[in-house]
Amino acid sequence: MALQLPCSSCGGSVPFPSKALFYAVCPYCGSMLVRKDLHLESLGQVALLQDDYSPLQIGSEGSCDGKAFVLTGRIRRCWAEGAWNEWFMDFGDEGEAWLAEAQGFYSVSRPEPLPKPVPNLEQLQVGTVWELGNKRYQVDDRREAVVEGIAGQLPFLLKPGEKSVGVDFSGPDGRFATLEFAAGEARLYVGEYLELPDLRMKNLRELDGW
Amino acid sequence: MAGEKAKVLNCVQCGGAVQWRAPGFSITLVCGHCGAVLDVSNPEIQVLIQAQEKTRLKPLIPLGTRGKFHGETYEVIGFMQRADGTGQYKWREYLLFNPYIGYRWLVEADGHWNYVISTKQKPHRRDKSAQYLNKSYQLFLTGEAQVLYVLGEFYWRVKKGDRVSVQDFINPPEMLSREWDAGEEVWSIGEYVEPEVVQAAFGIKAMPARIGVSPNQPSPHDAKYRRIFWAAAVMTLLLLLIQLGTNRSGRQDPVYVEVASAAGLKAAGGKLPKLAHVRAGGLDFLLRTTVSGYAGPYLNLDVQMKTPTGIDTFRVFQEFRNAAERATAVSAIADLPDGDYQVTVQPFSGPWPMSGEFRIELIPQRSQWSNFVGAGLLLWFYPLWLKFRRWSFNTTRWMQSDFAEE
Repeated sequence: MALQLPCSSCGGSVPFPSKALFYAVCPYCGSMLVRKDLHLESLGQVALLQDDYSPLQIGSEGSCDGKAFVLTGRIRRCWAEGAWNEWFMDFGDEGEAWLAEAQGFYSVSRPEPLPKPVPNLEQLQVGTVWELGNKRYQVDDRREAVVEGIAGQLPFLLKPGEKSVGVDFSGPDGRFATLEFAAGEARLYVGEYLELPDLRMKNLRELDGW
Repeated sequence: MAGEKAKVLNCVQCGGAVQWRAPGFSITLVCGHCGAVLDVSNPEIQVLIQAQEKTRLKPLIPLGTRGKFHGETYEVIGFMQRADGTGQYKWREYLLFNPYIGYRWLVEADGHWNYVISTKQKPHRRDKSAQYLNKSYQLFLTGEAQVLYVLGEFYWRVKKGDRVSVQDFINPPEMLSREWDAGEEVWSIGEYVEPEVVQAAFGIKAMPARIGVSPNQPSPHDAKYRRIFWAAAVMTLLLLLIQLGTNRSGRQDPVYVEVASAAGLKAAGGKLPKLAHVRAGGLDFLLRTTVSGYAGPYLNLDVQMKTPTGIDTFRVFQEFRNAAERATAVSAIADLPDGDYQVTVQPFSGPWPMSGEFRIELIPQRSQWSNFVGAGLLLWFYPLWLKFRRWSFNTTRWMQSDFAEE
């Protein structure tokens, strides 16, 4: 049975299915909580994320490369052309990844250590080539985004309104990389695009009419 | 079978209720009442295009129709009429949606249909070809595409007079398409679908007739050609085995051997007493004559083979110029029909006295190839004709291309 701890603000029981993740948003009052041993501390409050028409939900399970995962949290970001979701995929002892979902398009990417030196954001224009692990990655796209909201259990907290710039690279063998610049920090993710049925998901959300 | 529980929102231009079939997914929504194109990516709905051309187009598959395609249910949520750069050549695109799967397209042009998916990987583009998932596609055309009319909803922002450059690469029944503008490049992979499949999936009453050959339409002769080709190939192989088997068995032994003395021949008027029974099915034969005990400087033989009816008569002249070295004369008789032959040998020795002994042998030759070649030609006539049909189909296909087939 997944660990459940009482919210320090409203007392509702907040699920902590992953023991490795110390941050969560209370699904009842929107408190951003940090787990300290077996009690929770509130770090502020966010508006609860509205349901969109996504078939995914916190608690959806699936398997990727033969390893089982569960979606524990969600970040929703907005940009000029709409919004997308990033779902945290908890593989237990097998690591972590993010399942990005935008207008019915899906990708799975894993955090990777940043090679030094980190390219300067100004240098990365569409077409720029970046050598990443001896492979050529080329900039396809750059976009600015704003965090609209967060939910569930996450490896870190993000405040709604936080801005970021994502640079998308396409690499060999259909792989892509995203270099994300936010709050003066850069993070690297490498992954690939796929179709949702590829992840053999269970416990998907039931959508009206489908 | 329409999705009954679609979300409804009000058009910010005319106030009419607009169905939103993929809320959260769609970014552009077209008001069915006033034709306004709305940006619904944010809660504050914006009008992208106030009104479209007055001529309302009725999609062949009505919006909201659900159909089972490739084992999955999809709902038609968007419709676009597009055209090439000149605006003359038009085609229609239907956006299919299933929230658990994503988007697909059905594209109809000249009554030909394609089932299209966006690629998960970026294909590798070369000068006149493109590579995708270990398959090569040949460049078929380069041009422009513009949006003439939209209905329903889309997952990107439809702009007025949206124009992109397009390239189609083909490997029938597939087509790889690249659409790009200054900002982005989008690739998709389409597969030719027989109109009846679309018709059955979405319950369409009447389909537009197919016109011409579409770029990635598989040749209707392909499957038949392949089948007939392999049948002919197998038959040819069998014939070849039989042929080789016949050859190997050799039949080098004479089927007819007769020995006669010069005196005996003279007495019988040249006629050999035994008839030659030929039962080989029109093989080539060698007539081998061995002369021994003849002392003169030269000798000519006139050998005749005649069936009793006289229909088949073969006559060969044999010369022996040098008694020592050319005691054996060999003549070929081609295509000797089956029958019983009377063999007549007339020796001429000029002024020199006739003497000695004659050994006449009829030796079947290695089986000939003419039957095999004849059978082969008959066998391959049909497949070659199909190949020609296929070739002319492909030629028609490539006539619409800006590029030559390579």
